[in-house]
Amino acid sequence: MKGRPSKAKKLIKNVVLLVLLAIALYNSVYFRPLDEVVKSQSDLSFDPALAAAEFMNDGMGQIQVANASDLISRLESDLNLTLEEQGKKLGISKNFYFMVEDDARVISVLDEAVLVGLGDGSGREIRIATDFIFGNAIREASGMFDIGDYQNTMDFNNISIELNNRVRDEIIPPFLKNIKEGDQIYFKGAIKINQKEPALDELRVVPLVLKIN
Amino acid sequence: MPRKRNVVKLMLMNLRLVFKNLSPILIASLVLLVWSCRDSDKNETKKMAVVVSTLNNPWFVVLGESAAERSRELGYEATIFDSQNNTAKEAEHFENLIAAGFDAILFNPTDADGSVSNVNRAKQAGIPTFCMDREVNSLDGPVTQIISDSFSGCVELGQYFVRQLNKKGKYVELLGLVGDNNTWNRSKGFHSVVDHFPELEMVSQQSADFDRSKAMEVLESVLQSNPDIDAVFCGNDAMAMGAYQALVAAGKADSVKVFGFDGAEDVMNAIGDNKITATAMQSPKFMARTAAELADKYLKGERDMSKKMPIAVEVVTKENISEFGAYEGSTE
Repeated sequence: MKGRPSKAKKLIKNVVLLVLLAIALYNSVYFRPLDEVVKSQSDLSFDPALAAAEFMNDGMGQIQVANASDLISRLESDLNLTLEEQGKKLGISKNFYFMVEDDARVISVLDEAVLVGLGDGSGREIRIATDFIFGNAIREASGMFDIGDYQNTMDFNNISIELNNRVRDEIIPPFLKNIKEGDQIYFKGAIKINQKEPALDELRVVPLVLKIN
Repeated sequence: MPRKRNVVKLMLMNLRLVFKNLSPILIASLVLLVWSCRDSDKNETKKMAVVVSTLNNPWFVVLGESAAERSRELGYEATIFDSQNNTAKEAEHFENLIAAGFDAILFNPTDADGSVSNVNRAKQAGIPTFCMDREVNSLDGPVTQIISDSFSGCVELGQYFVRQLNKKGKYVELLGLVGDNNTWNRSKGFHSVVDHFPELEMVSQQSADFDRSKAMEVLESVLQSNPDIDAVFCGNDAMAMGAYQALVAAGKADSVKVFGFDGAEDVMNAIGDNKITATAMQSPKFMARTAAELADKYLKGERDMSKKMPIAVEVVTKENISEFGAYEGSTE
């Protein structure tokens, strides 16, 4: 008779312990599908699309822009000084960025760019990119965004993705639809120059403004 | 008894006399003693802690050793701590190095969010932290964060990938540690390019934790259900080597292109031997040296430092490999 209550007590004690152990285990280990983690990376409170829209709508007037022909002349006469004094760059890098504008004449429409001759009559040519619009050229050349303001660097990088999307979706299609050889155009956009391999005769502009005159 | 009392009185008088005459000497000695202690503190070698996420990957070994070496060159005593990719272990290291009175921490975190509290604890203890390669999600904790511009590197790598595959084909992506910002900066940079080419199809995206063996296992399993892939994009070089091993075992090493990220020695050799198609060079030596030099400047009083300092990453292919040494970018 004495053994029965103690057996029951033992059983209850073991069950309670097991339940507690199960609760502790359940709460200490959890699994999340990778898709969910990927999604959570983009569910941040910062809105890069809004930042890009604000820049395209209101920030353009504040950008420092150089005349493309003048800038190339300066780069040709003193590359390093022009890059260091007038170029913008991100951290420690040999890539420098500039925002440029100019009038030009369309020489030919290529697969990934429109080749134009600059309006100063110097015979200099430049490529207006119409495909492979990637990277940080616009963000860096604008000088409007500082990496030190962003807790997560991906927020900063998402601005570039959104700016490129706007260029790809809104700036290039109407231009490509109407452009033909011999047209006079005005362009404003960003260029990247590598100090080690400047390739000044193959400069490529990621456009922000394109007008057919 | 009166005789004894007189002796005591005499002794006290003598002592008073001795103290009266010696007190200026004593005070001067004490001052000198304190001064010399202060001086010896000043001359004592300062200590730099190098806390590295893992020493199980040669890239991080180079990062840690380069940071310690540069610190020693600058006159510090340097100790390397291995966090073994474990945030709890890392917290333990921080507790120990705070107690041991280190002067600065050159830090390669295990987790962008999980490591923030460690950095903050060091800051509260008056020890400045300088992040290397990996960032923490805090602008207040570390003095500065010297990080690779992984996003831009993978944008370049992504464009090379697209051209190598002629804009079409099936590929697998092997991600690094899901808690590390570099994993997502690299993946996002790559996808910001390849996702614009509809004929490029990602058949599988899985994490292999930046680990060579895990990458091999993951790809072996993916190849069972997707034997017809054209490329594998890996978030680091260790995974690229693991993926390559899996492809060799499956007899597909010649038909599938492998892309890595880091510029590790074995991958650089493999690019030269046409085994791996490309990698992105981020120099652990340059990053580590920059971190040590900035810490030194900070300890000497300089405060004007950018919160984040990205370092450019360059794509290495068979065409330009001669410009690079393993673990060393041409930026240097």
